[in-house]
Amino acid sequence: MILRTVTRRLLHAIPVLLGVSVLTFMLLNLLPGNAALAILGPGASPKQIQIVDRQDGLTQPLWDRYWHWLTQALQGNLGSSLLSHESVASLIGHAVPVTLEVILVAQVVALIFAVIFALFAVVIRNPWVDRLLSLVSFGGISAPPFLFGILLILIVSVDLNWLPATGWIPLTQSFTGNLRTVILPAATLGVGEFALHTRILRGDMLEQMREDYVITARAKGLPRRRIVFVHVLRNSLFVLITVVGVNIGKLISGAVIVEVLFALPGVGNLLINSITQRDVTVVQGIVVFVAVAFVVINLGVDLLYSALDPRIRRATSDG
Amino acid sequence: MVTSTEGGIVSTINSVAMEHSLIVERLSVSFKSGAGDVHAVNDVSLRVTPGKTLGIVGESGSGKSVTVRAVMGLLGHSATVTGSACLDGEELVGMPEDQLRRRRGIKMAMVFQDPMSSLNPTMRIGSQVAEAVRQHRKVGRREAWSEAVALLRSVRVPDPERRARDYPHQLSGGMRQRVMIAMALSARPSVLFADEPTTALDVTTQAQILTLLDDLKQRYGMGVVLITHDLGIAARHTDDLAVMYAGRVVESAPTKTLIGAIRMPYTQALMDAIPRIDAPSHSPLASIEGSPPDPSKPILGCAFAPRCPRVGDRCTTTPLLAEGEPGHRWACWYPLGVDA
Repeated sequence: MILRTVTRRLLHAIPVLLGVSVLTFMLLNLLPGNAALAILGPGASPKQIQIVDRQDGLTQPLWDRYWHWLTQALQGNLGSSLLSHESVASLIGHAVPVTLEVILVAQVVALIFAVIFALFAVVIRNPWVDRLLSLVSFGGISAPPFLFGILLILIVSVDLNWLPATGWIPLTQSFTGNLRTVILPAATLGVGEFALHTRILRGDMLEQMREDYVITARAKGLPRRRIVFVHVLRNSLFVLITVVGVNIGKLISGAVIVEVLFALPGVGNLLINSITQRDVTVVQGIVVFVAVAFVVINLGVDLLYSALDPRIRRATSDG
Repeated sequence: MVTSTEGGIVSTINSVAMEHSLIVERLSVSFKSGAGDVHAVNDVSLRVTPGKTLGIVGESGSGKSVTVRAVMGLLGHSATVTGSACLDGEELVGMPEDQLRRRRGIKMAMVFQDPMSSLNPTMRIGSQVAEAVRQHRKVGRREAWSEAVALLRSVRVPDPERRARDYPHQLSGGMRQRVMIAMALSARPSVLFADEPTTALDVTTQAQILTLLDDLKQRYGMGVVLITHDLGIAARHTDDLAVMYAGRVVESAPTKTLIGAIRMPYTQALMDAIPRIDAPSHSPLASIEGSPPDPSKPILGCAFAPRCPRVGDRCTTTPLLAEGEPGHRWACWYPLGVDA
């Protein structure tokens, strides 16, 4: 049954991915300037530009180029950079671990803190704690992430000199070094997530507390703490998983900003650089890669959801 | 009330204290709200006898559920409870939440109306019953589980070993209600409150659940409080009856006495509202004209007067619940079958 769900979802993804690739192809074509200009510099003559364009195959009609790109991409070949001539796949391959780590650390830490804070608010039931938490989470949701990032850089890096403001040390090179470079970007990216998750989890837990099954649990003589931890938290986590899934897109675009801010060699930075240099094959490759990643992660979240929630689990296996 | 039988009354009260497991005396509940206090329950007195069923009958909003929830201490902070509720000699009103909690499930348990929403949808029913077992006795997980299976068997859930591993949505409504009952029975409580336990069930299942409750009551000698809006069910499955209207008990008596000689016009109206199987088909369902009074507004006189066919001049003053015949109390100026 799960296999059928997966197949259906992947089939649905095909038109989405096609649409994404066509749109990016067309939009990139509309951008003023091109890679040749980036290579040759602003003083290049139209003739020189045309020569480089021809080398890059950019003089062919748009649909021919798209068709060529598509047939190659379907064979796993995303082409190579117009500037460095490195293959797009290997460029992305080098950048992905950075982005993935920042996103994962941000998401996991945000979830852990969100659960702790939401539990605290629900168990304590203090109006002042509630107000403070609402204020913090509301601020976290409304403030743009780069604002928090700049604040962190100013305080933690510039004033206190505790952590580096920019740069990246891979995990394979040094664990502590990696930790020192991941903390600030992950915190910047995670604060909004934390705020959102806390808000949603707290709200849903308070809603669950009004459910009949909670009255049953109270009538059984269960202590409030057990009701919150065992019954309510578990049921509210399902909502949280859904939100995490929905929010992945936001997290990816957030990662782009954070990578630029902290000068991390991730996918986001690669994308921004490629756009400014009109390195269209790299941009095209990244957009399609991100779209595929988005589809796959969402599918993963949905599968996780149905694996955890017995109501859905049974519904899909019965029907 | 001071008569020559005063000594008799005192001795009755003493024996009453012995023979009743729950004595509710002049219990009132009000809720704070923006538009002033809402008086949901007023001066309700009830007695529950071990091995017997007390039925509380009334329309929705008559204060039946609020009364038993107040006794269980399940109302929120917005509720103010006054009066007395004495369970096995312990006063429950005003008892700190922590102590009250230790008595819930053990001394008093509750079965609710909708067995679907009353069970945690993401937890195996066996775990939910075992959780109740472990709450009241220090036993290991495995032992609690087998106890849960035994409890499920005792409420006649077929194939309980397998069923215990099911989730609530995999069971029928009747089975779910049996699970609720199994859970409530886990610590052999003195009193079981059943709040409209069969309202969400079809008629056949209804009868099965009520018969089960009757059996368990006999077997464990527990007192049962059956809340229902259906006087027909109450007539068949209770030993004593209290009819509630607008937060007050308006008639109470042993069931046989009450059904045999209804005095309060409201009770008669409830009786007339039971659809009759011998009525010609497609005859309209009887209902009580009008609607219950708004509990947030003060009630002057008899609360039922605006809907009462026997309303008279005296109904502008509130009739008190008084013993009109031995064991039979009513709150009415113009009772049925009694010449004023």
